[in-house]
Amino acid sequence: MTDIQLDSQGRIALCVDLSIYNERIVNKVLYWWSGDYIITRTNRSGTTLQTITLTASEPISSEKFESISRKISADFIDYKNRSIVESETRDLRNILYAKAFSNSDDFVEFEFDK
Amino acid sequence: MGYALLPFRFHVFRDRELLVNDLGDYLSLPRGSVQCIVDRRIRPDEELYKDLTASFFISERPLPRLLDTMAVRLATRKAFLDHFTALHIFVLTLRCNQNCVYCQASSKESCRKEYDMSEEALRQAVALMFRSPSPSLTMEFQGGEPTLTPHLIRKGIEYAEERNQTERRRMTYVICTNCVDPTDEILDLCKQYGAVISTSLDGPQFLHNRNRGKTDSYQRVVSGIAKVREELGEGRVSALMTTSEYSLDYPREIIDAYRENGFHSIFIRALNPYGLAKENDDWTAYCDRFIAFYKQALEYIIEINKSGEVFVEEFATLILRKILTPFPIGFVDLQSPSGIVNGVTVYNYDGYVYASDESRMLAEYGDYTFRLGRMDDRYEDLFYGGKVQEISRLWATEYIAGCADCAFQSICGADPVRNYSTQGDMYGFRPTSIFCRKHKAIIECIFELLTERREEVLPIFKNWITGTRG
Repeated sequence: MTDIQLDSQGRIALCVDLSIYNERIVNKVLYWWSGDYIITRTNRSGTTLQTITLTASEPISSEKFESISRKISADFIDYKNRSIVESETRDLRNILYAKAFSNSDDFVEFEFDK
Repeated sequence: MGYALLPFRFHVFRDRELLVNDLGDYLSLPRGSVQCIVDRRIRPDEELYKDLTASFFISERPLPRLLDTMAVRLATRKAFLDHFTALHIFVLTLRCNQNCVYCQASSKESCRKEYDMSEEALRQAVALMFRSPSPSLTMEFQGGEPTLTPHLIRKGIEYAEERNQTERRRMTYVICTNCVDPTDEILDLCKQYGAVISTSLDGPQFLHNRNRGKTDSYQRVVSGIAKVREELGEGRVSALMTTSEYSLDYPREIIDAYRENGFHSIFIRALNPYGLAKENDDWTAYCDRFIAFYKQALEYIIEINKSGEVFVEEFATLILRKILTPFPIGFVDLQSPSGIVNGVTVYNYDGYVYASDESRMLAEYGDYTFRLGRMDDRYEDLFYGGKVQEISRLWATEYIAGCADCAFQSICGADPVRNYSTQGDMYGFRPTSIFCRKHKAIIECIFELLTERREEVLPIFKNWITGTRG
C-alpha cells in the first residue's frame, strides 16, 4: 500500500502498488472489508497502481479512519506473508495430502453403473 | 536460504500471532514473528528455531525428513472420513406435546398423525442406514417428540437388530425426548436394547418454563430425568440446552441448574436459524451476545473446576480435542469436509432422505434444496448422486474463501446448509457469517486460555478431553 486517505465525503481512498501486493493479495484483504463497505477499484493506466475506495453507509469519522487505516496496513503485510507461505509450500502441501489420502486399498466398491 | 517453510496459517490477536498448521500444531508468538520467519531471520541457535522445527512450521530440508509422519498425522485428523455416515437421524414424527418458543423443528400438535413416518418408510430407512460402511452406527430418534410414536421406535430398533444379526455393526440407540413423560414402554425399550435418553433442559425453572411456553414443563422434565435415572442408571440420560435470547442474561443460573440436577457437564449451544427461531430479528446482535454469554459461562465453569468439582463444557471439549489431540471428533459443525452426509444423514417422517437435521428443518418451510431423494431410491443415487456432488464442491474449509487462509481452518468446519439458510447460498460469505463469527470468537477464546493461562486451565482441559468426570 502506498497511500491511504480519508476524502472529503468520508470515504477511504487507498492506493496500492500491484507490483508489491499482487491482485490476489488485494482480493484477500478486501474480501474481509467487503462485509461493511462498498468497494470500488480502478487501475491507473500506464502504472502498476490501483486506487481503491471504501464507502460505508455513513461517512467515516477521522477517529474511525485512524483505526481502519492501521488495520488495513497490517492486513496487507499479513496477507503478503500468507501469500509467501502459501506459494513456497504449495508443492509440499500437495505431496502431503497425496501421501495422507492415497491409500485406496480398502475403498468400498459401489454400483455406480447400474 | 537457511530453512524451508512448511504449510501453516496464522491469526493475529492481542498483539500476538497464533501459528497453526494442518497437523494441529500451534505456537503463540509475538507480533512480527511471521515476518521474521518468512524473511529467514530465525537463527538455528535460537529456541524459536527449535520450536518451529519441532512443531512442523519450518524444515531444515526442502522435503522434511518426517514427511511420512506428517502425512499420517494429517490422515488421522481426517479419519472420520474413512467410515462415512455414522449418525443416522430418524425423524419419526413432527408431533409434539410442548410448544417451545424457539422450536427449530416446526413441530405439530400431538393429535396430527399425518406427520408420523410410515412403517414401510422406516424399514427402508433402516436398510439405507446399513448401506453405510461405518462399523459403528448411531440410530437417533428425533421429532417432534418421538416418544409419541413408541411403536415406531420399537419397530425401528427391531428392524436394526434383525439386520445386525448378519451385519455385526456396533449399534447405539438414542431417543431424543423432552422427557416430560418417559413412559414405562419407552424405558423398557431402553433397558432391552441399551438405548440412551437425550433430553433438553434450558436452565432453572423460570427460564425453562418460559422457553417452553408452559408453567409445569421444568418440574415434569426434572421428574422425568429422575425416573429415567432410577430405571436405567445415572449415565443413561444426558441433557442439551438451547440459549434463547432470554437465556443470555443467566449463564451462572443455567450452569447451577445443571449442577443441581445432577449433571456433570453442559453443552452451551446457540440457537440455530431454523424453524420458529428463524424469526429472530437480528442474528448478528444475538451472535455477539451469545459470544459474551459463552465466555462468561466458560469462565464460571473454570472457577467451578478450580474449586475441585469436575464440570465439563462440552463444546469447548470438542474444540480442545481438535487442538490438543491428534484425533478427529464426530461433531457435525466442526468438520471439514462437512459433517453433513459424511457424518450425519436424516430420514424424515415424510419418506425422504435429507443431508442433515437442519436440511429437514428447511423443508418444513417449503425449501427442499438439501433433500437427497426418497427412501426407496438407491443408496448410490442418494449419497453419491448429483445433489451431494453439488454440495461437495463447497463443503470444505480448505478451499472456500475466508476459510482457506484462516488459522482455525483445521479446527472449524464448513456448513453449506447454514450458509444457505442464513445467507442465501451454499458457498456463504464469511465477513458477515454468524457461523464464522461465533466459531472464530470461541476458538480464539480457547486459544487465549491455552496460551495466556496455560498452567491454570490445562489440567482442567486435560480432564475434560480424557473423559474424567466427577
